[in-house]
Formats: sequence, structure tokens, C-alpha cells
Amino acid sequence: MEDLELLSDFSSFLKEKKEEGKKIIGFISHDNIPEELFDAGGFIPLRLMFGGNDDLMTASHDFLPPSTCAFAQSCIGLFSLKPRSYKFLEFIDYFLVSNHCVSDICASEIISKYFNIPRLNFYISYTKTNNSLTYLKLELQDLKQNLESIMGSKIENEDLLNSIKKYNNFKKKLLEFNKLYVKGSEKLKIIQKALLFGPDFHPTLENIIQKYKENSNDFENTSKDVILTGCSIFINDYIIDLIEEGGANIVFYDTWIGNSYFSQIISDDLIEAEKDPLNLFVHRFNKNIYGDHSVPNFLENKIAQILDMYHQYKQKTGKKLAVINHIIKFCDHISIMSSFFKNKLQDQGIPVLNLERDYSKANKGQLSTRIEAFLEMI
Amino acid sequence: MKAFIGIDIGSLATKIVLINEGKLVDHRTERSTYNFKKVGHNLFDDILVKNNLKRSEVYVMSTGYGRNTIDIADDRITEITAHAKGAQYFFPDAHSVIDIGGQDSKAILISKKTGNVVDFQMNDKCAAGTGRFLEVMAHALEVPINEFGDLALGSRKPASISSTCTVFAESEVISLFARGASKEDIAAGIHKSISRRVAGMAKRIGVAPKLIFCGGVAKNNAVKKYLVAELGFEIVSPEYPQLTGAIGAALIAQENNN
Amino acid sequence: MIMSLMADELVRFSSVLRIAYNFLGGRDYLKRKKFREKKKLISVALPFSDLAFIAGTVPVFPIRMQIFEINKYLRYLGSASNIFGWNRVSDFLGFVKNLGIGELSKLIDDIIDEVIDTINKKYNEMYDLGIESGIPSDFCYGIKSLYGMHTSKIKNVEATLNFTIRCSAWNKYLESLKTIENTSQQIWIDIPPRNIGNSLELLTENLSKAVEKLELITGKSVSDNDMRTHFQIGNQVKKSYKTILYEISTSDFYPCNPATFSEILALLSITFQDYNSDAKRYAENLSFLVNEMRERIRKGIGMDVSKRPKILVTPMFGGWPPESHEIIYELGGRAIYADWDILYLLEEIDVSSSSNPLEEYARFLLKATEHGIGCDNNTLTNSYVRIAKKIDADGLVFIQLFGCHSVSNCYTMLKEKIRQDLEIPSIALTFNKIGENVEQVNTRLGAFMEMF
Repeated sequence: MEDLELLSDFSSFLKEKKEEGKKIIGFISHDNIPEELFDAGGFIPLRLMFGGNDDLMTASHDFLPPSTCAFAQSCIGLFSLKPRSYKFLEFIDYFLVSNHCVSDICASEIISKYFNIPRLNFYISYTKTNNSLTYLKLELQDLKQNLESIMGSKIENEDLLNSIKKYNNFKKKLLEFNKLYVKGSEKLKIIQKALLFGPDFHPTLENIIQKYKENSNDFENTSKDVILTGCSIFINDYIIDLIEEGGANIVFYDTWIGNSYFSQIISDDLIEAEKDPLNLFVHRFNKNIYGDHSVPNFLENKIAQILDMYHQYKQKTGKKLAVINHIIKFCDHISIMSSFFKNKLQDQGIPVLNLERDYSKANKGQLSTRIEAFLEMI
Repeated sequence: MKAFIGIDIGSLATKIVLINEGKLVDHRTERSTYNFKKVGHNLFDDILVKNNLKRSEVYVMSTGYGRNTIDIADDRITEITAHAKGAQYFFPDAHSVIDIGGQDSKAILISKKTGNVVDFQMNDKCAAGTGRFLEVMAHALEVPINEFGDLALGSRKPASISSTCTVFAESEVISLFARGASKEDIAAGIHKSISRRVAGMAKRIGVAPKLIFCGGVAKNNAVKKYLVAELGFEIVSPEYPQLTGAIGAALIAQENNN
Repeated sequence: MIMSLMADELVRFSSVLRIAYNFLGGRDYLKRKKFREKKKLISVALPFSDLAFIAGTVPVFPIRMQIFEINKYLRYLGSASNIFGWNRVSDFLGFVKNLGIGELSKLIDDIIDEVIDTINKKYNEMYDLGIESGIPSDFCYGIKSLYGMHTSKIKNVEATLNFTIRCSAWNKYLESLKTIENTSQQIWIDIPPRNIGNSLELLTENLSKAVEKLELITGKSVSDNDMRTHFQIGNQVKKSYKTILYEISTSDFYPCNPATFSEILALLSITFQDYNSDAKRYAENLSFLVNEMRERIRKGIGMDVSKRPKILVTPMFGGWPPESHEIIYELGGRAIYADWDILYLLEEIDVSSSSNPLEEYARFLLKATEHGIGCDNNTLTNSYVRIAKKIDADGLVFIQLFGCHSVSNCYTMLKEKIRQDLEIPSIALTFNKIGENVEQVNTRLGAFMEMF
């Protein structure tokens, strides 16, 4: 079920911001993007975090071959087809071309070039050596300068620090929300909305948390508890319903739309002590054990986190978790490690379903069969 | 409950079995067609009548592609779990299953201790590695599908087919034939290709003896031969290789009701 | 897939036979290096072998550790050449062929057929092995084959040299080598994605750290002169390569049949990655090759190709339908493979005594990032156009490699630029695995060549 209300609310939200004089920077959704820098500069970060469908994917084939990340395809498709509920994409003033993965570069380049959106660049090293961190600082400085020249004014350190604090607190609030025992799809929808609207959503999130705490009707979970890892579940993606209909309840979103986002919190002490706020981004990148961009420890980090979550959950509830590794077709980072990831976890007695898919509706039956067979198995 | 019925609605064939006290009593198989609901109903009614049973006396478990749509079922289970169970009906010491059907293929690993599924792999997106692949190639060579396996067995030097895609493999087959390769050798190459693909999928989950080969394609001895060669160990097939899914479903129905 | 080449033309190309033999006979050579001479083997892919040479280790493009079926006569020629010298042997064969001793010349045809055929078969085997070992089918032919190559052979190498580039699949594939049970090290060299700020300094330092790791492996230290010596040899290789690409490929007379010429270019493309593990020998062979080609052109031995349109076929290093050049030849054209120059990996490195050789190498790598491999498709497509202009291409055949998200998925952008800048026809061929899809390739190239 497409949530058209969310999109329409978001559209109004963006329109308001534009009327206030803000500029909108679009980018393909993933981590390591310094959204606080945009915020401090008077920009609104708009992350493309929308799930696709057959039409969107097909529309992208005018630009990229079909053997491309299905999510990247859908992002291009949105600009190509301009579906009515996505009219707000026209508000985008700048598009960030970034290299989370090579499909990201390709798609963002295409969106910028063919849909006439001025381009900003931001490239991140694949390793995390000291020199890679130094390089990241260069990119941050370059990006900051570009933003300043667009706005015609300097981004003061104080403003940047305040933005960082704001986003930090927002993530803490999300962490708090994440601890509540809520039905998986409901939790996801709120996290998605939060990431889409950003810290402006903070007060609403606070109210939502209050309501859940007050109601204290713990939701009756008769399903099997699972961790979702791999690629994020984007807005209006049917996969969450398929998973729940199959009999699972997602208790942890070990994806960028989820744990990876709100776990990347910078300590208050560090923020207070740091003279150059750009260094805080470097620090965060360095400590990022969640994202799939960096080499060469991605697989180990991922296994360690899953094991950690698994044991914590078992200790807390006595229940064993299973893992669904959500792989969007042609995702370089998640796909390549999928069989090794599964083997390593299954060796530890943790069942894993590598659920590979694109956004085509035709495959729904096949996906259901896999999900159900997996749940029957555990 | 007097008896248990398992109905396996595949995209090509619908199979129905009747189990009583854990034993196979009766079975039917028919092409699903686009109206598999009707086919399912007809088979169901027929099996009840022929065995003097009333609807209220049986518990029905559906499996397969159409398991959620057929309305005569009391409950449903995926074909993975069903095939694992069904294989153990014929071979209680079954440790793994390879099922090659008309439009999909699967590999299943069963726990030696509990008899439950511990891992599985499916190929249902691509015709290569399924009965469809054999059908397309048999048609290209103008050989009846039920003779295709035996033709392949007659080859001493299988042709090498490199295409992994059915569409390209078909062109490759035609081109090989045009260049003078014998039908036997090409047929053998095709059977080798499908076996390699399926064995590759199966090896990913660590299949090991005792491996049960079922599904419609299990009747093809050439596929069996090349599977054995790829896997490096002997495999067995049940007496009714197409019924393992339906039998498994019925057995699970019986278990759930006790 | 048997490539039929005009072997008689190749007979007098003894340097090509040598390069082919050195490629195929790598296993024995490498075993000698490792076990008798106690040298350390380092796995490399893409033309990133320089650091390994500099440190005195032996770089190897892993497929060369496989057993290739070398035709016994090539083996015979290989060993005979040690006694008689290659030129003598090839002259002998040429003389013998002219006498019309049919059987021997047939054998020579077979030798060359088998060289190309055996390489392609091995690549496919490695591809299948990669998939069996757990690489999902989503990835490109090159990466699947590379993983397959390492599955059985990584235990023979001390380390893999891991350069990070724009392609995320490549970077992740390098990490995935850790999943193969082995004790080899991973030496990572991060190439800054863009040349901004003090990137040059950062990359130089990264290279320096890699050299230190190699020094620890060999127990020997590397001097600036060691580096300059190797880069000088590398420059010679690149000079010869560019001469073949630009002076000879574009001339009106070819020193051999155009399909053979394309095959030589393909062989150069593969062997350029590790210089067949011996830089000096490779540089010599390439230099001889240039001389042989020029000599034959001078003597009028070969074929007039003035009426044959020049077709740039690219990119092919990640996998390409090898029957392409044969088909293009039969349809009246000539196929040119120039991948490494497109990626700016044929640029020479400053070896003057006042230079800091490692910094110059860093400069070379950054240039490749900025203009060649590029940090985006816009940069890369400009480079495709640049080379098409340089060889004065009459047409472009673009290989759309299945699963490639970096060098091979920019056809839409490239096609526009070709139309605007060059006004030459272009088509795309899809490629997944060698031997697949031959009819489609035939049909498309057929239609394409009819445009000339």
C-alpha cells in the first residue's frame, strides 16, 4: 500500500522550507553524508529513500543497463517519469554526486546531468587509514566551500556545531524509540518518516514515544522474531508486508534506515572539545562500523554486530533470532558477501535467509515462498 | 480425522495424495492449466468419492505455487518443507533433496537428527536449471521430451554448451547442430549443463548423501547420471518422484493433527 | 570457440610466440621463481604490478598459475628456442612452410588456434569456479573469474596488492579474497578518489607504506634507483605499446592479417597486467615486436587495410566476446583494442634523477583517476572519445558487460558524445560469458558493419 499521505505531507514540508528561502540538496540515501553541514548552511538535505516498482526500473533503462542496482534504477526512474506523488522532486536545487558505491555515482551523475540539476561532489575513500581520513577532511572542506559560495555566506563553526548537536539529539531520540517493543512495520514507518523529515520530526517523535509508553499495550507478538540486515527497506516498499504476512516480525533494523543511522552518535564530550566541527565528521566516519562502504573489514564488522544483537536479545527475552539478509539485486556491497555472511552465521547456529530481489511485483510470490519456507524452517 | 490429503499445486502439474495412518493410499496428477483451482477441486472431489470419504473426514494441506489461492485447503505449507518431509517418507534417512520441476528447481538440506529443514536454495527466476530448459532444447532438436534423456545417454562425447541463459543456449544448440554435431552429443551437453547448474546450487548448501532426487525431471536418467558426476556421490529417486511434495504436505497435516 | 588465425603470418612474429608462451608457461616459470630462487609471488590484476617489481617480488596475474594445455609443438619451440634462438626457429618454420610441407604448417595453425582458445577456456573455467565458490551471479565476468583464479591459487602468493578504484565491486571483491582460506597478506593502497588538496602527497605516502610492507616480505630494502630502473623499463613497455596502438594500428598496411593483429592486441592487453612476471623480458619482446612489425610493413609483407574501417572495440578487459574481431575482419573491418590507454595507464613516468619516483608514480595513478578510470562516467566517456579520435576510429563497438557498474555502463552518455563529437556509428554488444550469445553478436556486428 503506497503511503500517499506521507508523500503529500513531505511535499508540503519542502514547499514551506523553500518559501523560507532554503535550498534543497538531493542525494541518494546512505550514510557518511554530512547532512549537518547542509543544515548549518541553510540547506535541506533530501534523501532519496523511496522504494521502486516495475515502471520506475524500466524507465531507467534509457540511461543505464538493466544489470544495475534496482534502487539506483528506481531513483533515476523517479526523475524520468515524475510520478504525481513525487512532484516535490522538482524542488531540488542541487544534487550531490557521491561514491557510497559505484551505482550511487552513476545514478546521481545521471540525475544531475539529464534532469538539469546543478551538481555538487563528495567522494569518500574506501579505506580508513590516516591518509584516508585526511582526504575526507579535504572533501569536507571542498564541499563546505561550495555550499558557502552558493549561499554567499560563510558557515560558522558555531552553527555547524549546533547542527551536529541537533542531529545527534535526534538520533538519540530515535534510539530511544527503537527500544520500544512495537510491531516491525509500524516501527519501520516511523523511522522512515523520521529520516525523511529530519530533526524537524523530533517533537512528533517525542509524542509518539510518549503515546507508546502511556498505552503500554505491548503488542501481541505471535510471529517469529528476525533481524533485518543488508539493504534498507525504503518508503512504500512492499517487502515489509510480505515479511510480516509470511509470519515474521522484524525486531532490529540492522540497515542504514535503522540502527546504522541512529547508532552513529558523536559523544557530547567530543563535540564540546572539538574546535573544528569538520573533524567530527571524520571521527564519525572512522568509527562507522555499520555502513557497507568501507573495506576491508565490512564482513567481520557485520558478523560481529549480528552476533552481538543475537546474544543481547537472547539474554533479554530468551528467544533466538533469525536473520533476513535483504539484498537488492545488483547491490555490489551486500550481494558479494552474501554467501560468506550466511555461512559464517550458520556455522554459529544462526539461520540466515539471503533474500535477493528487485522491485518487480512479478516476483512477490517467489519471495513469499522463500520467506515462508525460511520461517517454517526455524 | 480419518485421512489426510496433500495437494501440491505446481505451475505445470497439480498432484494430490491421500494418506491414511502414514501410508500412501491414493494419488492423482493432472496438468494445472490456467484454471488450477478448478483442476484442484476436481481432483479433490474425485479422490474423496473413490475412497468413500466425506469432506469433514479429511484434513487438507496445500503446497506449491497455488497453495494460498486454493480454497479447499485447511492449512498451507511451502514446498520446501513439504518436499523434505515427502522425501523422508520414501527414504527415512534422507539428508538432502534436489527437486527439479517444470519451472523451478530446489535444493534442500535436512537435519539428520531432527528431520527438519536446515537450509535451502531455490531457482525459480530463470528457466535454466529447470524442466523448461530441457523442453526448449528438446523442441529445438525436434526430439520428444520423454526420449531426450535416453538420446543423451547414447553420447560418448557431450558437446560443450557454455551459455547459462536458456535463450542463448537455444541458439548455441541450433548452431552446433548446423555445424555437424550429433543430436546425441548435443543432448548430452544440454543434460550436463542443467545438471551442473542444479548441482552448483545444491553444493552451496552443502548437500551430501543420502540425496533424494525428485520432481518431474527425476525420471530423466541422463540428468541423474550427470548430477551424480557433478556431486561425486550416488543419488536415489523415489518410486513416485513427482508426489514428494503432496505426500510431505499430507504427512505434515497428519503430524499437526495428532 | 576456435579462433582461426593466419598462422603463417604469425610464424615470423616470433616475439608474439614468445609472449604467448611466456603467458601460458607461467606456472613452471613461477614455480621455479618461488621454490628454486626463493622469490615471493604477489597477486596483481589490472596494470598495477609496478610496486611488486620494484620490491624484487614476482607479480602474477593469478590465471597464469593455472595449467594451460600448451600445444606440444609450442613447447618444443619454446625449448628449442633456448638452443637455437627464437628467430632461428621461426625462420626455420617459415622456410619449411614455404616448401609446402602441409602437415607442419597445419600444426602451426593449430598452435596459434589453441593459444587463444586455451586462454578463453581457462577464463571460463575460472568464471565457473568463482560462481561455485560463492560469488553471486550479479557480478561481472572479470570479477567472477578473478575470484575463481584465487580460490585454488591464492595459497601460492605472499600478498595481494589491493588498489582501491572507482569500481565498488572491485574494492569489495578484494576484501572478499579474505574469505578464501589462506595466509597471504592484503596490501591496500587507497587511491584518493579525486585530485584535490594534497592528494598527491597522501597517495605518495600510501605507496611508501605499501613498499615498506613489501620490503618486510622480501627482507630487502628498495632504493629510489630501484624504482627509477623499473619505471624506465615500464616506460619502454608503454612506448612500444603505444607505437603499436597508434603508429601501426592506424597505418594503411598491416604486418599481418587484421584478425591476427587484433589477437595480438588482445594478448598484449592481458599480458600487460603483470608483464608475464618479467618486466625486462616483456619490454624486450615488445620492442622486438615493434621492429618486426615495422620490418614487415617495410617489406610489404602483410595486408593492405586502407579500405578497412577502424573499429574501436572497448572495454574488453573485464570480459568481451572474443569472436568480435574475427567477425569484424570477415565483414571487412579491423578491430582495435586500446583499453589501457583509455584508462590512462600507458602514461610514462618521470624517471629523471631529480624526481621522487614514488611521487611520480602517485602522479601517474592520480592522472588515471582524474582522466581515465575517472571518478565518474562523465570523465570516463570523455576518455573513450579521446582514444577514438586518436586512432581516427570509423566506428565504435561498446561492450556492455553484464553486471559491470563502472566502465561498462556508460553507453547512453558515450553514444551522445560520439554522435556530437565524432559523428561515427556505434553499437553496444552485451556480454556475460565467453561462448554465449554468439549468434546475437554475429547479427549485431553484421548490421553494424553494413554501415561502412
